[in-house]
Amino acid sequence: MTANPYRPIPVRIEQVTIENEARDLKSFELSFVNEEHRKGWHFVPGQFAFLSIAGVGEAPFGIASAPSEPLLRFTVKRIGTFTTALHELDRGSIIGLRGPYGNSYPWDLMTGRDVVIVSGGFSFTTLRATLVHILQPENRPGFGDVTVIYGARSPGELLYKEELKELEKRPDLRLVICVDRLNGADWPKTEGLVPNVLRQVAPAATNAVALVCGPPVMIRFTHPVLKELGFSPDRVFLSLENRMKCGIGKCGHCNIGPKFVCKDGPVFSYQELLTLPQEY
Amino acid sequence: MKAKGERRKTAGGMRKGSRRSAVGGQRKAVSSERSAPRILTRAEFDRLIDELVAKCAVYAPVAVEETGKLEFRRIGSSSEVKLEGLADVGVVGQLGLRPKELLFPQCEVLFHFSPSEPGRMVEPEPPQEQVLFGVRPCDGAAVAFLDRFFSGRSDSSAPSDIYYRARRERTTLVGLACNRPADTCFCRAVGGSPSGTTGLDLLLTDLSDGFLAEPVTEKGAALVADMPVASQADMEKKQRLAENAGQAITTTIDTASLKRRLDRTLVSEGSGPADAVWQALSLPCVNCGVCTFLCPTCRCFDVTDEEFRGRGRRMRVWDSCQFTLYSRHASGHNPRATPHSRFRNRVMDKFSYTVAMVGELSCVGCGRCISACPNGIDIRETVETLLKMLPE
Amino acid sequence: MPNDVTAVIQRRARELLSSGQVVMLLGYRPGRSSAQPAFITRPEDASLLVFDQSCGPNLAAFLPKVKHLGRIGVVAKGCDSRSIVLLLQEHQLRREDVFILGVGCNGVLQDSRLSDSCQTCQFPNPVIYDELIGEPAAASGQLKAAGGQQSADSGQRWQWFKNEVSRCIRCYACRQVCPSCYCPICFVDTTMPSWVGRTTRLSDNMLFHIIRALHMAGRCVECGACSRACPMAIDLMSLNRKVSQIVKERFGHIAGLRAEEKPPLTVFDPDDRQEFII
Repeated sequence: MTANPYRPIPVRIEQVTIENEARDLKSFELSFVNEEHRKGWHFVPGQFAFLSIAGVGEAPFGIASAPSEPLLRFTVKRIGTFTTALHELDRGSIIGLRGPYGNSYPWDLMTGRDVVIVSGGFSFTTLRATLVHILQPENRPGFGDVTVIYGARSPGELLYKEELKELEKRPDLRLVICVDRLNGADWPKTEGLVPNVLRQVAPAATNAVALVCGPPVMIRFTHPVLKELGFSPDRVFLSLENRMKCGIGKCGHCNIGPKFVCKDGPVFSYQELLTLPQEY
Repeated sequence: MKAKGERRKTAGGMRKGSRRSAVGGQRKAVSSERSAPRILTRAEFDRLIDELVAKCAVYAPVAVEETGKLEFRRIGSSSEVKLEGLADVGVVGQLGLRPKELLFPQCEVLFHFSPSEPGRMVEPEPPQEQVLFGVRPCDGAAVAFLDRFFSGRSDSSAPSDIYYRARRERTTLVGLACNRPADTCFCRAVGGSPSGTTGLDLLLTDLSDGFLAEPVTEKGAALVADMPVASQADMEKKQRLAENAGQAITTTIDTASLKRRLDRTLVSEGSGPADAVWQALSLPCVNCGVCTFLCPTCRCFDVTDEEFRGRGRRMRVWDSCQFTLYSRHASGHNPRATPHSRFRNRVMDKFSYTVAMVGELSCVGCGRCISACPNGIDIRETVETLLKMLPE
Repeated sequence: MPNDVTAVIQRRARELLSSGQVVMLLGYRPGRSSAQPAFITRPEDASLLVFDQSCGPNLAAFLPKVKHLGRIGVVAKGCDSRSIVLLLQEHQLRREDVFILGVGCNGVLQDSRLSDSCQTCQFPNPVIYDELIGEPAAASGQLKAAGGQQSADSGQRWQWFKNEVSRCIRCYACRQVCPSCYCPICFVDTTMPSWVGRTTRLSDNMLFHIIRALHMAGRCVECGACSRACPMAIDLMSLNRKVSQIVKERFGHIAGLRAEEKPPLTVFDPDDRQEFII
């Protein structure tokens, strides 16, 4: 048989980080077991990949690391059979990886423009990859103002806390971290729901592209705010997470109308979503 | 059903090498010098089958005792094949899950693995050559659709499905024209014909005193290359049968208009009135998977791992968009949570989505979903209502 | 020319809808080959309704899905009415949710012969109704052996069971048409843990059908909807009939006869036979 698109390649877990207080979010940093696989692996922020554990199964996850980072990072919430099994693995374990799949954020369109990143909960992963990529010294001049609004339910649920604290200090980035309830915590500084915070921050829509990723309810309430701020539907991009099994447009599960999230997405412009059934 | 390899004695008596009933090879269109229709007497036909049985897996419709229906089964000898009467669809009925299931099995092993060797995944042995006799033209058209759907796309975002391709490359489809369609047949309404050749390698027509065999591909031509060429009278007889069969199918569907109407309902905003139409249509639907599993173009699958006593395998198994779990996220969020949204997805897939995806309808008019629906839902009535209720 | 029962159903449906006593009349309308469920909400559509021997689907299966609309009028054969009783017993329905138009049933046809379940029907007449339409039907009343011949030994019965379920394609038509199968998530669909594999291998198929049969114990009204729905012609009724016979023997219970009764597996009686407990 020729190249089998269903065949995972072996990767080793190099680092496991517990990301939140509830301890149901862990980041796994992976290295390739075989050098040839590492060389053949090229991706763009916004893409996703399948992680695989023989005997348990497979599941898709957004790639949370930037291409420039040495290890591949996936941040995974313990929510089902596969993620529970993955959470039980330690450094040194060998798992499977296949991908990268899907389109990416619209890098051509973003180049030379302001970028507004809006994210909630644990969907921040591919947007973290995007942010790190933009902030690379050689890439940063290619973009205008960069605004990030990232929220979680409580301070303990924010991903990548130490990294965010560092990023907050950067002069070339407007990073607003918020939580639904501060409950007396001294970090972050902003209390409020993502859509409301977005309205207050009010990034300029002229010559800007907005990238949105979050739970369905956040997405629903973020749209009207972006519209208010003057973002046209073709400048708002969403990363979707439908259930999927193959990643290559065959198994059928992730369809939204005639589009497959796995191969036509996961990133869709709001303009395109307006022409599709609301099945995401 | 005979066990594998049983009753091969007939093959031993064949004139070795006298006949080029080769299997395998390219599915390229037949060249003009080999395209002449041939005539097969029943004796010739039996000899062809027995010769093939000795070389590869041969499937043909046989009567299954438990269900009382005709189903494709692996045969061990020409004596088991009942092609007579098969052209009379109204009498013998539709043919269950196959041929789809022989190209896209309900459970298919993707990899074998052992938990003691993480990362090592071994593909199963390649499938064996198979020849299917008595494939209906609608099922041929369905295979042609699956060929397109499972093939790779030029943008490389969707590579070719190698498991499907491996089986398809080793499959020869010998069709049998339907002389008398059933009252559930509507292939002509969706671009097919009871004597259509799409997807087939060879088309047989039952002329009652023998079969007319029309090569469609080189693969098909090879099977009948040394049979006598059909006479003008044979061709005229076939023509009459095909015309009569075609006329027996009276359903018409304006598929272009239907697609335009359906596509208008895609738009998220303002789908309210259409939603009411879908709700009303889907009320008798209980979201079982009968229509999708029997449908020759439905091809959705789930991937599941099994492990037992240190041996594991990753398999794919058929799935259905009618099931609640099909689209439900691990978080519990379900983009198609309502029964009518799932009903809608199936109909949309057939008449709109796959046209956008690969340029083809995915309804071939076989009528299986009509006869098998436990609550009598008839896709022709569904479509009729949609054409009436949805604005152009 | 509609038969008498059809004419009365049409008239009563029109009246019940016009007077607002019900918001929907759940009955049957003719289909191309057999009748299909009809969900009539406008009095003028009542003329679509029919009742004859092609009216197979057990309409009680739809009641939990439409009851939120308001009071539902429902045409109920003997078995449908028993399913309604079962739904009442299990608190899936309240009596005031339904207005039952009971009809005596002479059995439903499948492929133009009397459906297997109807050949052994003991309750062709509705056991609960608000109005009885037409004449009561006579019970056909022959008891039929459960699958694999009651007399056969356990090895033969096991072989019969394996033969039957080996054909299963796991389309779940049996489950979906069954009024007693109303769980929001079926055991076969749970993934945490996954009780039953998703393949159609014999072991997975056997597990699905054994567990489903046990979940039917004391709850199957023997309407035969599952057997008629099965595209692979699996003789599910024989399996269910066997389970019903055991429940009747051990607990003296017949499913779906009296709304005030409790299904045997939901109650404990100190006199229950429990010789199987070591």
